[in-house]
Amino acid sequence: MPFQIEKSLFTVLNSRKQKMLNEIVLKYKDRVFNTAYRFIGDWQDANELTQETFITVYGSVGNFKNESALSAEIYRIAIKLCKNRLSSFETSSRQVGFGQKKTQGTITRGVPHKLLEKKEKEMAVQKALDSLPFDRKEVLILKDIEGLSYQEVAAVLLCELGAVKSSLKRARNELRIRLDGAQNG
Amino acid sequence: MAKNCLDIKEFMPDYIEDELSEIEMNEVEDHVKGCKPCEKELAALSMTAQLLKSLPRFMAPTGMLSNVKKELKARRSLFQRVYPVLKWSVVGLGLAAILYMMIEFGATNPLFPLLAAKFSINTGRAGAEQSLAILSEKENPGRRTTVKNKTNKIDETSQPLPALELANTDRSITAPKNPSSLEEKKTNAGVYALTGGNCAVTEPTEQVFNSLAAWESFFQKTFPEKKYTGDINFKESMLVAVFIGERSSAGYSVNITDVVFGKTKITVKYEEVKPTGPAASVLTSPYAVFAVRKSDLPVEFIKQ
Repeated sequence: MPFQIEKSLFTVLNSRKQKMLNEIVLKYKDRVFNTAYRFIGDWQDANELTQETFITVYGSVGNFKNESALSAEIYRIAIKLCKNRLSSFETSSRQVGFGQKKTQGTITRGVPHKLLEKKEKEMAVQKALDSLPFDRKEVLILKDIEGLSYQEVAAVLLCELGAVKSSLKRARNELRIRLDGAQNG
Repeated sequence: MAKNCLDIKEFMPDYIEDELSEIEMNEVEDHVKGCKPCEKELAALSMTAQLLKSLPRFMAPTGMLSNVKKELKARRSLFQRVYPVLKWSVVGLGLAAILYMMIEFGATNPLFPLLAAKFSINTGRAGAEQSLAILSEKENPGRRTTVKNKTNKIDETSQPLPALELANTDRSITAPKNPSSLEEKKTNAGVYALTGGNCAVTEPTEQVFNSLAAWESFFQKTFPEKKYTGDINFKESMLVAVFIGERSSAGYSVNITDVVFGKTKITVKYEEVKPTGPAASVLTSPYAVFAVRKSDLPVEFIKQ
């Protein structure tokens, strides 16, 4: 009965894939979500993009030689999806002619002074980050926020180590200029 | 060798990441102590990196895994709905293509002579209506083909058209009674035989028909009471026709005994069969028409 064999094989492959997906989601969900949130700055969008990342990963699960290749692919997919989402924001805001993209609202009432200050600082950094070009933002998020090594960043961005270093330096400088500008202005 | 500001700036990102060797670290620190702009830049860079690193990390909302699975299921069910239809259409198309190729090329493929014979019978049913016999014949170029019309015994009577119809409606003649005879010839082309004793051609005539139009118009003149409904493929075949002219009694007939494909010409040999016993005194015009493999060579008719 060839169809039964086919069906059972399909089920086995499927269940193995499901198991791998479970492990991947549990291991990477926070990293992917945090990355997406730092790119987009919106909770709901970051949630959707994280889901979409894992759905995309599911298609090629089992094709990776090792963990680092898988990890690089997950980040790469997440970044690509964020980039698409941001460019669709830009297009829609240009079309409508108004508006910044949505940002997470902050509840300030009843929050101690020091915490408030920290929150404001964080918002300023996020704002400065949002204003950077995408290629600067991606290297800062991967290296400084996600804490990947130079090699890992190079693997995600598919570029040389030297290029990552120089790009990171420029990105940090630009971010500093924007932060200084925000403080002074 | 003391490094200049440019070199030190190159080292700064690695200094912040603590990825320099001890010597390089010392070089950066020594330089920065004596160079205010570099010190300022290093401090700013370090602070920026620190700021980013100190940003709080967000956890993914709860239920991420179940949401991903739900979404995957929703998308997969769409695929699963399409998949069986897609699979069976591909299988169906494949079978149709194989069948088409068998019909299209089977009849001309020397590998399937018996198959070709079957198809010739099936496709020749229209021709059978107008008293034709289809044998399975086709020869390879340069080979000699022998076609013997042994089974086409014509029941010659004074009835003009029924005789024509009775002549070769027996299907059994279409399949070789002895399969080995077919193998001996190693041929597999359809041969269309139309023989009889009554037609409008009263003068001895030997003719070749290369096109459907020519054959149809000739057919109409020769057999005014009948309509041509056969399906001779004039792309692959042509017709050789022998009319021996008017005879004074029934019992006469023509047999095409041999068709030889030579290098320069095609020879069609035929013989006239005379009545062996007493025959009805009626005017007849016996004829024989055969389909042979199409060729541009001249056709020579030889009466034996």
